[in-house]
Amino acid sequence: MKIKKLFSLVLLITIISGCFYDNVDPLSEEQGNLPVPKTESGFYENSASEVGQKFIESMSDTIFFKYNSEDLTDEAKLIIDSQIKFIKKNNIRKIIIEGHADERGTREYNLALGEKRANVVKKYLVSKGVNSLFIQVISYGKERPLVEAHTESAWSKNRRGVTIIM
Amino acid sequence: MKKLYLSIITLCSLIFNISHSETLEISITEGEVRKTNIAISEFYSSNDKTADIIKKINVVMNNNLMSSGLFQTFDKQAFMQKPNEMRFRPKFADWRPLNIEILVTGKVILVDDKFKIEMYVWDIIRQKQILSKRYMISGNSWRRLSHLMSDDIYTRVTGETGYFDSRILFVSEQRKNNHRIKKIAIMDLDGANIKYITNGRYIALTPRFSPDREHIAYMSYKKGIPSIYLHNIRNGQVKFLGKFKNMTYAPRFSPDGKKLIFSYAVSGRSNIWVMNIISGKFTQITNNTYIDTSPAYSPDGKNIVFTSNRNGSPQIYSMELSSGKVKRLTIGDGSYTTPVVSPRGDLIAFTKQSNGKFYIGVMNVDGTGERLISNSFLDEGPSFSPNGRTLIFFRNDIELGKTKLMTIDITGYNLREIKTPYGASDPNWSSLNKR
Repeated sequence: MKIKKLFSLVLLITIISGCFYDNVDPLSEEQGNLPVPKTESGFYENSASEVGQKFIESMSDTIFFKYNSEDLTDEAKLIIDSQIKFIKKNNIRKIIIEGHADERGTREYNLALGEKRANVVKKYLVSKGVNSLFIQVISYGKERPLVEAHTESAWSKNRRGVTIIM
Repeated sequence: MKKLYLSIITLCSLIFNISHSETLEISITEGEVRKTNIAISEFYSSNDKTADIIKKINVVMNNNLMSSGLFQTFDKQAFMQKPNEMRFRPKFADWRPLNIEILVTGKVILVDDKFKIEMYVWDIIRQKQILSKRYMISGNSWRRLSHLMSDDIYTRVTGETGYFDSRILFVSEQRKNNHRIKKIAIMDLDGANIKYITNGRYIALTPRFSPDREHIAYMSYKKGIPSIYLHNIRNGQVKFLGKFKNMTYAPRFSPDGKKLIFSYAVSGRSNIWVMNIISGKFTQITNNTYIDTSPAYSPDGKNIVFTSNRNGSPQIYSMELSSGKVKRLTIGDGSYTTPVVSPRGDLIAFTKQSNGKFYIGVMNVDGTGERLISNSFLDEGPSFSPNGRTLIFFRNDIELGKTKLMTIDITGYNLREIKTPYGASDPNWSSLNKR
């Protein structure tokens, strides 16, 4: 009885799921290559176009946040201002903002915090005239620290927003 | 003998003085349990072909009962009676000098290519048999059978349901060329039978079992934007919960397995949503400008608990789903995250962060009676055993430079590591396997 009910539930899920899920290929067991970091501190796998490379060489792509805060410091604003100048001058149409947190928080909460931070950078860009449709945000929470150490100084470098020019 | 009562004395054993502007004391409670002395004899068989399996079963059963913290096992070298001498009935007096309270004996008979196993549990003090059970298995399921027999002994002696025949989902964290490869993995509670669910190409996090253990929900960066995926364990099929333009994360199943609750982040706001897995319909549960995350259902499905920073620091809240009424549960110093409700429905386990340390704690479902049971540089993400008696969580051991899985009794007693080949995080304890 119970098994029959369960079976029909599974069957139902299978039938209905075809209607609204995107099907994803079952994962293969082969070991994939991890994306190689091409920016100073970012990890986005398709980064480092020619203009993106020029961007990294000419200015800082990274701003830092205070503990448990998503507010932009004056220093961060100055860095983003110069990023904006570059974006406008080069007519950039694809920007990715990564948000990161330090390890002093739980995983899920830090994903939210990273997302909040990336959006603060995005809002600042938009307030200075960058088209919001050109900007994508992604949070890495505490999963990708820039500095792998357990000190205040490492944490202050890991709480960051990274701008990537595609 | 109906039950063998385990006297639990809770002690405040460690007191941490943290120098601050004012002295703050955080105490860790560490329970103490009187262990039951148990002797598990190797089972008797007249057939030499069974010798290997008998030895293996004995090792797993000893390891299981010892690791529960409720039993003291003994080396068989000290046993006065050998398996063949106890084919019918043990000589109780022979077990007294070792102070054995419970004795386990058994018989294995090879029937074609299957093993017919009989297990007997004896109360040495009262000199009588308290359990007799028969099992039939094929040779390759000896490990599973060892867990089932351990559960039967545990249940008979403690009066609580055993949990050895269960599995752990976790994130395997392997270091390679300065990267951390994070794969979803599944294993038996004792660390055996590890299988990898994802291939490590993309970060995959926070795996959670459906109540029937047939599905896993997890979050992955596979499609760029972090999203929730549903994986069918039986056929390996993976479904992507699309339709969301931004990050979805922190998934957990409802107790009936029909819904998935999770967080959806838009423009720096994280709110809680529920997806009906059957109809595909989405419902928004919270709607504000803060971070609402780590939602989890109560076992009756009527309430949820979650983390929110709506009043400043992250704290734990509960919500009655029918009325939408929200109540703040934690008021202590520091932040409180990752709440989960015990399968018994009487306790909430959580992660607390205060003064540079992380703690695993438990409290009543109304937020009273907070007890912190472990602490370190980073302890995170508790998950209850099927009987609600034990928690599994992960610890970042910064001296070893890896994360590891730990179990602890809810009284704060019996802290143990479950060994894994690489680093491990985000453990999620399954319900019991189907018998």
